[in-house]
Amino acid sequence: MMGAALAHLPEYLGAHVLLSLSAIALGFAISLPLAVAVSRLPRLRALALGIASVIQTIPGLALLALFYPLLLALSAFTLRSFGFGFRALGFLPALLALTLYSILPVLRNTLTALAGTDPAVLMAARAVGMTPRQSLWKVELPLAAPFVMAGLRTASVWVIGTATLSTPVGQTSLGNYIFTGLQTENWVFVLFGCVAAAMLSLVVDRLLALAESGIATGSRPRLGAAALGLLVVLGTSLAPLVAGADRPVVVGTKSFEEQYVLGALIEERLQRAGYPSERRDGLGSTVIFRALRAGDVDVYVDYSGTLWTTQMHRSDMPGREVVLKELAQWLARRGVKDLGPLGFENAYAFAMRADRAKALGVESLTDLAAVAPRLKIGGDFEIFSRPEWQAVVRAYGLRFSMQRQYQANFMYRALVDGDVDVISAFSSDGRIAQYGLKLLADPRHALPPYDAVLLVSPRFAADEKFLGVLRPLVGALDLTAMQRANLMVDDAHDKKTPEEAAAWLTRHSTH
Amino acid sequence: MLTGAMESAIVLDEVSVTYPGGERPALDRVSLAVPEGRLLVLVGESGSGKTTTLHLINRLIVPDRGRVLVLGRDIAGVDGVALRRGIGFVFQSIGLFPHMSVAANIAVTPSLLGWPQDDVAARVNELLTLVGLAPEVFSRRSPASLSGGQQQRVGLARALAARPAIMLMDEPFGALDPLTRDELSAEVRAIHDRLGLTTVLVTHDMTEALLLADLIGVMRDGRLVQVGTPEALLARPADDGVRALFEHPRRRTEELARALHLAPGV
Ligand SMILES: Nc1ncnc2c1ncn2[C@@H]1O[C@H](COP(=O)(O)OP(=O)(O)OP(=O)(O)O)[C@@H](O)[C@H]1O
Ligand SMILES: [Mg+2]
Repeated sequence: MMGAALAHLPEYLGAHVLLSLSAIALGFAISLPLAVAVSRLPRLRALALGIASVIQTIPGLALLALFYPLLLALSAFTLRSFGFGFRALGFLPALLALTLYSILPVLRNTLTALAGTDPAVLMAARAVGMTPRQSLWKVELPLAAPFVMAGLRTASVWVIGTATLSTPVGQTSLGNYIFTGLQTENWVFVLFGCVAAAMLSLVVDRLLALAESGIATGSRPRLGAAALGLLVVLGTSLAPLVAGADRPVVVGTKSFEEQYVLGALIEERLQRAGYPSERRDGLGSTVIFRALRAGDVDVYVDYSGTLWTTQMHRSDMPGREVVLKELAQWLARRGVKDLGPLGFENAYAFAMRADRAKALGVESLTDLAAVAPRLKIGGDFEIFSRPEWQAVVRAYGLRFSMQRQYQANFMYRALVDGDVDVISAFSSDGRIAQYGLKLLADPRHALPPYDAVLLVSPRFAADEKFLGVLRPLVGALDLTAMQRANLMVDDAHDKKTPEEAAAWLTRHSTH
Repeated sequence: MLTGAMESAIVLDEVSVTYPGGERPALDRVSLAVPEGRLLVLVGESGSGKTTTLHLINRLIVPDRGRVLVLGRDIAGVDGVALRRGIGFVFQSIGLFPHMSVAANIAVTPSLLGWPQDDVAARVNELLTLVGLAPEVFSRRSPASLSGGQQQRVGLARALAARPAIMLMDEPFGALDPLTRDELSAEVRAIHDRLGLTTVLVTHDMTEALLLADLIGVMRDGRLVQVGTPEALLARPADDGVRALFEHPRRRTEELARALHLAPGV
């Protein structure tokens, strides 16, 4: 496990350093001049501080996520108006969000320091014949410098920490360890990511502290050492990134085990066929589809029912074959190539412990509705806000005594331990077989089918050579194989990496 | 009133100042002429307008009404920054730049004026010597590492650095112990004479005023009550207030003599 974590370090650390140092530098380049510009204008000063404080209160993840749709719209606009677009996923949204995040500490410290300049010194600066500008540059800013540096240190600690959250918007960072680790219950990865980010924070903080004391005491050797240290950090982390500039194929995944296994499977095929590839792991469910359409992600696996309800906004259930057909047509009109179903479904389903279901006499959702007011239901973070849930509630008149949300792993624990009576599960989840859970039937067909379908971005939609590499995956994965593979990644005792599970799938697929 | 204005280095002509938000004027129609080469001491109770008067002369503030002439020129049309580079200013609070060495503090105005580096360095050494600080010991020290008296010597050197013809000193010895104070005030008078300066100095210490001044101006409530030589003010005070002011040092001297006389063993 440790070896697997170390193998990713150059890539993750490099991306993390590049991202966070760029954000810190850009934030500093904005906040210091801004502070100087507004320091003598009380109204603007209050406004700038107010805005920066509000930004600071937005949770880091939300701020990062907000930038994606914003940039996407902007990119569409520039493409229409000026004939060029840009990648709205990954580096840019993360950089902008973190830059905004880094503004407050430097702004606030600089303004406080400037406002607190000793009046006697200010008077002396005027009396010796300095212009207001000379007073600022020769007296006020040098005196404020230690406070500015302290602000910069705070900003850098915040940014390096928050940068771990840029993984879900498609920017590789040390957060990849944490997000992948949380999803696959790989605690070594989670811990490794946390420790690596903390150490990076610490090193940068110490170097800036050195610079701070260098400025305070006017010691050039200290300033030089700090600058050299920062350069070394930057240089060693960026070296691996410089190699290879050709844009690789981007394989996207959502944030659960099956997706990581499928991502590894796809990537392995691409690499064998000589396509350099990179991964954008743990993307949000709607982010990933937009990213595919925009070409920020080139290939990923989605589920027919998900696209049917959340993208096509359909609530009718015309049956599995019709859904697949209409979906492919709808996608084609948007330039996306639907290579077809992989062969298994990962449907929303409701699961109970077999003994509990038997005791209550529950076989189907209809039976469940009768006893539901006495029961507690657990769901993942998405289900209760999804149209599928509303459809089921409407169709069966479901009402529970309590609803709880869990990270998927904890949700199964809660069911097994009896904390909840029913959970929203996924039919391909290996844990269903592992825990011997009972899946409830859906006699009214309220839930759409969820065939796993392989989607390709407009960039490769007509590239037959590329499509040929992936086509063998279509129809090649049956439900049992997928459940087994998912369970391997999930197994607490004999945990396999998604790559190992993907390799097993390749050997055991129906082709 | 303004007869002889041409030989006066500094002239205030019916000057009034009201600070923003101030109810009554800080200076109310003040007229004053300081002849070239003289040392004028301004005295008066707290809030009477002494600092305001100094700040008018180097245009740190501008008057609402009246004119200020420096070396014969109405400073209303003069660039304040250039004017201040030609006038030395010493504060009670000293106001040395804490992030600069002693030498850099003294060098500030000459550097702003664009003097060649070598000239600046030579001038710094010359001034440190003039104010009684050994250059090789003090020039690289930081202001925080100096005693109050040493700091004010540096403040004095900084004010003198660009060879100003005029010095403005606002309670320059206010924060010093009595011995340092006497020593430094004697040095200031000596420097004034040696360099042929025109000086306006504010103090609360009447003894100091009497010992230092060519002319004394007495202020009260934003007005200049009386100006004259120490002898003239002692002999013919304009009102009871001025009389009380000058009786104070005399009374203290008498009390002191009595106390020493009565002391056992003397
Ligand atoms: N910046 C300012 N804003 C408003 N009012 C001021 C300002 N500076 C001085 N004043 C007022 O102007 C009047 C004259 O002040 P000034 O500082 O000239 O007195 P001063 O004679 O120097 O007193 P002190 O002996 O206490 O230094 C006082 O009433 C004071 O409160
Ligand atoms: Mg004063």
